[in-house]
Amino acid sequence: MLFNSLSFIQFFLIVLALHYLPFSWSFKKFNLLIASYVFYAAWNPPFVILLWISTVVDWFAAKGIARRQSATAKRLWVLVSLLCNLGLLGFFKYGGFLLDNFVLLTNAVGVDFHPARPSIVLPVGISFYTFQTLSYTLDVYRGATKPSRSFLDYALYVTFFPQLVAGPIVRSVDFLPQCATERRVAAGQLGWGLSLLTIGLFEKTVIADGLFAPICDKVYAQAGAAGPLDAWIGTLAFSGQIFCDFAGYSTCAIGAAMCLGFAIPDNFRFPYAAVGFADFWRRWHISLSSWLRDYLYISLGGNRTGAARTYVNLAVTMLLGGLWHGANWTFVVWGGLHGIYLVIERWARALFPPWPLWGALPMRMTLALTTYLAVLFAWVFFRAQDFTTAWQVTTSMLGVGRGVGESLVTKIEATIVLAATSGLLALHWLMRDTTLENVAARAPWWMRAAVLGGMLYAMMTVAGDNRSFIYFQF
Amino acid sequence: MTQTTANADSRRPAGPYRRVWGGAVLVLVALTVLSEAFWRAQGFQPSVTDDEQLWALERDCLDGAGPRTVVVLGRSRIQQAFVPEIFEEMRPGYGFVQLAMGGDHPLALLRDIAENTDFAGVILCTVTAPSLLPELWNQQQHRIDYYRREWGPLKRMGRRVKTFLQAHLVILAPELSLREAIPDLLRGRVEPQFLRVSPRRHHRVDYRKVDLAKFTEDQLKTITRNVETYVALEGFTNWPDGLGRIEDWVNAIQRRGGRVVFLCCPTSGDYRAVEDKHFPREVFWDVFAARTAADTIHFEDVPGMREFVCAEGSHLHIEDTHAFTRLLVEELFPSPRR
Repeated sequence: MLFNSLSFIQFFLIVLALHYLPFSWSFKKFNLLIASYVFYAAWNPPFVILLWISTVVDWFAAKGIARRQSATAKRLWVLVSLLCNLGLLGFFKYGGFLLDNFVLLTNAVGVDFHPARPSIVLPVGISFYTFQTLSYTLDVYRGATKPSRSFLDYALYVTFFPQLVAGPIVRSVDFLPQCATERRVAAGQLGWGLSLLTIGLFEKTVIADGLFAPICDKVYAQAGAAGPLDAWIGTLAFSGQIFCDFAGYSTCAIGAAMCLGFAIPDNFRFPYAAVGFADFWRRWHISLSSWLRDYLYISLGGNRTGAARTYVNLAVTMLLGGLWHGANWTFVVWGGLHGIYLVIERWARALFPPWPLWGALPMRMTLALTTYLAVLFAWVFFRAQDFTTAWQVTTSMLGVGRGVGESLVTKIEATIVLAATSGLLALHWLMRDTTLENVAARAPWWMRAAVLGGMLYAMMTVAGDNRSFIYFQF
Repeated sequence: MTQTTANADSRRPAGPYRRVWGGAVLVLVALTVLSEAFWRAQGFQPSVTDDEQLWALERDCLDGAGPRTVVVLGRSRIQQAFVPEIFEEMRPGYGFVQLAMGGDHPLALLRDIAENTDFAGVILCTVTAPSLLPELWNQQQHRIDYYRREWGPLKRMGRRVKTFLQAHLVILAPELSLREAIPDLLRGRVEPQFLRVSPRRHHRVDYRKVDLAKFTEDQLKTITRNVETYVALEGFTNWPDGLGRIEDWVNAIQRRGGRVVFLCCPTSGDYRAVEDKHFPREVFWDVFAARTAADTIHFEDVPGMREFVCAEGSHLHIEDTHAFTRLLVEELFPSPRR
């Protein structure tokens, strides 16, 4: 079910109504659990079984880890959890990809092997909920938390619908304590939650789908015919689209959870104002980057094993982070580029001593713009369906592709993208060191009312084809 | 390991939320009223988005429909030409279900109704000669798949609300979406509304509001391109082999008391010349009509229908659709008040 659909509004109203009735806390949690399964089943009912498998296996794995004394037994339970979650992910998400590459490899060495390609449907959100349940067993294994005593609380943690299919990836230590006592929702919480829901939907439906997506789609669909201006406009549009799409979803998720009395973590902090790539990843998809840092990068040794090994760890983490996004080598290249960016940045920081000029505003703005441009080039691989498209767009952006001919984008489209992107970058820069909450707190009530009313109007009239969120596919 | 949560209670901005949300609703209403007045003053009227969900709502009407129901299958021609108000005026007590859809040939839907429903009313299936080519039978299957796999109570409720709002608010017309209207407003040139879709999927197309010469040229290019594709299909030469299966569907419906009527809609001008050249009536339609157990109506055989001159070669002018519907209903029910 999409947040940007009337179906969701009806669903959410029913859930809210039930949640605000004077039932017991356990009954309310049970309602939320059932609602979450309905939310997931609305897309493809049989795949709820996968959620159950992941839930039940990790429930028992965490119990097993906590009960066993020997390190080997504990590791065995961790292995069970890893095999189950990564096995599900591997089969549904990477099955076809692995087979394709195996066939390529065997054909390359002269073996004529052409198996039938299995028709595997990717369950929506599988990458998110498998990582979420995995973090639970890994936290129990590391002693960071104890297994939950309540299966209902734990199942709700895995399944909680606001963030089930596209994050933020919530840690059990953040969520489970909230289940212990009844979440009483104050009027202000509902008011701010609905405000966040509105802001998120506005980002998604008006900015991402209404402004950016059609222009980006147009350029990437005809990448071979794209001139330099087209390629730049198309990729700028994608940078705006992907941010507003994903950050919009996260804001909706946080808002919907808040309406129900739950707090879930931030996922974005104005990333296009990042000064450097480490800063970018502290601001972009925070719940995934912190997951990768805590469970992969640190497990590989982090920065504790010398400079060279640190660089390797960074690169491996980012390559796998890229692969997490999709079973395609273009995502691996996207992750690889970010790995290279991070390695270069770390190397440069070690090489050049701190210099007061780095902190000066013009220098920081230049560095932020440089970071954005590098991120922009990486987005080409994220957006392109294949390497041919990515190559065509990249070379066009560098001015070595197709010459200047008839432009794919109209002057009005180019103006819209340039204005909207400039606005987005300026907004990120202004909001860099503050939060939406702080800004809202300082604004008079009538200004908040005018902004929300304007957003509602724009959402009502933008009319699109109800695109799903980009991150649903991951 | 605990992460910061920007939405923790302590960081929630304080504020008079009742006033904020009350004000937001007022702003929304004010903007809606102002823009509604602006667009109506420009001559725009409400129009519904004709998508898979609106089709599915209409498809819902088929389940449980009695024998006094006419189901309309076909493409955009009949969607524009069949005027519900005229039908209802001429056949009080009868219902209709408009399942035609632009661009796709309709036999998949005929098959689905025959094999997967117990409908026993009248099916008006509008076909052209290419509709009979087996390779093109499945063109509407995607809608059937959508209906069977994705359509459900929540979507139904959501779509009903959307349809209701679109039927009453001009600002929700697809051509007035911000995406469409902003570039037009920036250019300082708003295209007039030439298509209005009713909640029951009738397309009212006013060709007086378009560049008809360009439309005609585009249509001719499309039919020429399509014909090139069709004649290259295997079914172009052995299409009669598929008639047996079509007859199975017709018989299945007629055995349970239903009735199937195949209709060939009017075309004219260069468009018709291309059709006649590659799909001559005596080679396709007449052979088909002779072999099917269903009733058939060819526009050339109906006095009044054969005189229509289409707007761009394949669709009737809006001012002819009422007369066409009257003629069609008379053909469908030869003794009108029986």
